[in-house]
Amino acid sequence: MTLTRRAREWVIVAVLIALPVLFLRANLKSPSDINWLDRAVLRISSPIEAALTWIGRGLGHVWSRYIYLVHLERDNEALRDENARLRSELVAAHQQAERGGELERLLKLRSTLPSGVLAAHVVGAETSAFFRVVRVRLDRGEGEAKPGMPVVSSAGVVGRVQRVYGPYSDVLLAADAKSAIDVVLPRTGGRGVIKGIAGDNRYRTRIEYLLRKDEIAEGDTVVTSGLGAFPRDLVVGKVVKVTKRDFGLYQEAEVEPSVDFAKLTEVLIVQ
Amino acid sequence: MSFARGVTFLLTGYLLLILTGSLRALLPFSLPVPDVALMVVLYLGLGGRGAPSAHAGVALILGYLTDLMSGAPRGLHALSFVIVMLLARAAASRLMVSRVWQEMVVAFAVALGHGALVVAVASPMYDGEALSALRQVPASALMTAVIVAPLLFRFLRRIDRKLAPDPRTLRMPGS
Repeated sequence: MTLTRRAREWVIVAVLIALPVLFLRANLKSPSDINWLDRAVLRISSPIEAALTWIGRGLGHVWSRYIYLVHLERDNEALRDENARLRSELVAAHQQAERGGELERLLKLRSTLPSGVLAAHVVGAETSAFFRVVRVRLDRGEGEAKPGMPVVSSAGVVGRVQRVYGPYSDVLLAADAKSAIDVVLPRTGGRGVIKGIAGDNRYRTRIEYLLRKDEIAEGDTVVTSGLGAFPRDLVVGKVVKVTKRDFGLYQEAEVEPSVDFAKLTEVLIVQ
Repeated sequence: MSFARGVTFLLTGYLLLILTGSLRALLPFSLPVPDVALMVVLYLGLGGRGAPSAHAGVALILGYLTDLMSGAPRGLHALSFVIVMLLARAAASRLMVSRVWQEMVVAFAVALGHGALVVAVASPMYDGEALSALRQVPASALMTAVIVAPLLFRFLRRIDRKLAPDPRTLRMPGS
């Protein structure tokens, strides 16, 4: 760089230093005055700045909305969980109430039964479609069950103890084809034997050995006769279908068990 | 410094000023204001390439824009930026600024000095409160050095690389 050129450079630099000093002096005297250049620059800058701020605010709103939604979703999830928990508690309370009612009914039944009873609760159901058996466990402090003992619930006849192993017992349900319980129709006095209907997924029973001359109609209640191990007048079910024949000694009727075997929880074993 | 480089850095500084203004308006809390345009000036000054008048010109315009955007008296930053530019150019050959921490240290020192200079120059406006005004300088300098400088220097280096001439197009003198 030549001396002249260097000198020119420094002169320009000096001017560039002096210029703002002059501007500053002028501006300090009257700070509110702006010239056309200032106005032009600000007219260009301000809309850009405003647009950027507007975009930023928009993004901020979107972001805060997103955060809000995240919180909302979290709250929603918490409320959903709480709702599910409360629902399950409600179901449990209902079950408890039902169980309480069932136990109350069982106690009433117990007081009506002539002999002693053992309380038990169902711990397992049948694992084969061909056998209607439930597994029960005697409640703590109860005596000992024996095969053949009648099993009842508050709704009616359940079945008979088939096997006993410790506190556990297998109960052959009245709906099993091998089961046979002597019953009576209180309305007419007709007698018969309740047996399970095999080959059906539902728990169905029928009265056999009911004399053809005995009157029977749909809706008739069927109770135990008192013959055999079962105490008398325990409800077995209701007649739902009658099959009359023109020949033979007996007639048959399908009986819907009063006990819902699928929902069986508490039972009494009659000693 | 080429004209294109000067204009590019001017526009970059200008846009950064606008962006800073927008961000300040958007933030719901108060933060020390980083001096982004000062860092552009510092970067150019530490580069030390080209005529000092060109650098001073860019610094002046950037300072002027800063004055307009910040509401400072016109000429305040224009003057201080030109001074910083010239000092940075003078120190460029004696300073080693290649690592991030070095950039931060230099940026902090320059921001601190620049803040003091601005307060000193504008002291008549403060009505004897210039010393109180100085208290905010370290925080602003720290913000500028720690947050802005490393990122901005990297960005400006990238721009410089884009603007650098393709070596394949260079001709030896007389060829």
